[in-house]
Amino acid sequence: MEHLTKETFQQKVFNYEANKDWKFEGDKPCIIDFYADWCGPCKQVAPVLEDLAKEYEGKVDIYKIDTEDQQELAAAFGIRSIPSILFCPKGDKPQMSMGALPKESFVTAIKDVLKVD
Amino acid sequence: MNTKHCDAIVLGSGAAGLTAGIYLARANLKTLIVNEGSIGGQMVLTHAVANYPGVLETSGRDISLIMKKQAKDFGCDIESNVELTKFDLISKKKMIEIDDDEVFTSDVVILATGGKPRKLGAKNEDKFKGFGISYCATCDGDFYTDKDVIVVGGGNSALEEAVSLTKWVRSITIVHQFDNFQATDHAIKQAEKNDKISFILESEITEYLGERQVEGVKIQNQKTGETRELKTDGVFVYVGYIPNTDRFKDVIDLSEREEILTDKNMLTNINGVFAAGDVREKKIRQITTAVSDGTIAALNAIEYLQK
Repeated sequence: MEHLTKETFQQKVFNYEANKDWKFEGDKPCIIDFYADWCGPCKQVAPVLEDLAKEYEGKVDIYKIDTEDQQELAAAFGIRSIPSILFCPKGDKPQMSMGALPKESFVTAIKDVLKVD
Repeated sequence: MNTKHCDAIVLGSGAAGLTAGIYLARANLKTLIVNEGSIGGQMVLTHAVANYPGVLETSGRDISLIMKKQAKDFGCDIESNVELTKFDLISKKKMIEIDDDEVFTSDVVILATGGKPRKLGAKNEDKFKGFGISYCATCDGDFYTDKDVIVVGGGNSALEEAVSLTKWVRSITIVHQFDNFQATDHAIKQAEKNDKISFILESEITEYLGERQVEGVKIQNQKTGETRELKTDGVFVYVGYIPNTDRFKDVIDLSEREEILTDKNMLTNINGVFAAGDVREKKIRQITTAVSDGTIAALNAIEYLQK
């Protein structure tokens, strides 16, 4: 799974310095996991995302952002709680979800928010 | 649909569920642990565990990983991140269905589904969850470096997590609804002697204030009814737990607080169905007591199977 930095985030997801309003840069919908190494619930999410990355390969991009390493990105999204999961559909606004979601909730959100079956 | 039979099914993989799995598998019983979340339950929310006998200070997550390894090494199967879509606990042969496509039957079931943090119930709580309201100091403490925060609650979790938050934050105000704490003397003293911690007692938060993030709270004094506003950068809530029993309430006898009622052998009102850990009615909720429950439930389940 790719770890995003400020630069790659701006290329692949949203260039928040150039655009005031949300403008998705990706060619397919994506899920972004804001996490940190010290966070137990974040580690619960990691294997679920690995599963999903395989199951939705070619349909959904799954990225991770280390909030300790990428503090500017975390601040840009007002992250105050991890894990936080950002669901970015094509052509619609993104939705943020807090806490370690079970796999079932990811599948539902991929269908409902990302419009991917 | 594919059906597999096990000797025992354990629902939940916190301290109680994993311990039950260890004992059952070690008795050579075909054991399946089913877990809708991930391994460790509420243990993983605990920053530092210093009072688990035999283990020097560690984290809740590290303990849970060792317990998982022990269970697996003894031959326990563990299904994590699945959804329990159907179950039958009443029949002699118990049945569970997961993810709508796999069915397992067993002779005994141990319910160790734990609990989840109780919400405060103050106005705007859902709006600010994750944006200034947190239930996990170890996860989110770092985001409050040099900030002023509130910790709500008066039990061990509230006071111990407040002390652990002092590593990051500038100040902590502990807001508690009563005039005394339920925490142990040791936890109270540790909090009281910390210069960063102050207390507002006999008071409750009634509303969270702010635009995008929490910027303050309304606090009401329980005695005088007087309400005032307090500026804060974040609120950590530790006001107890709600047992995960909602789906069992039609078949399993519950207490008024919706905890599962058991006898001293951890047996519920249904033959062959045991309960262990935070999900059952009891006063003390610690990793040690969950481990104890899991042991007692498993050994009595083994005895039940032998009859």
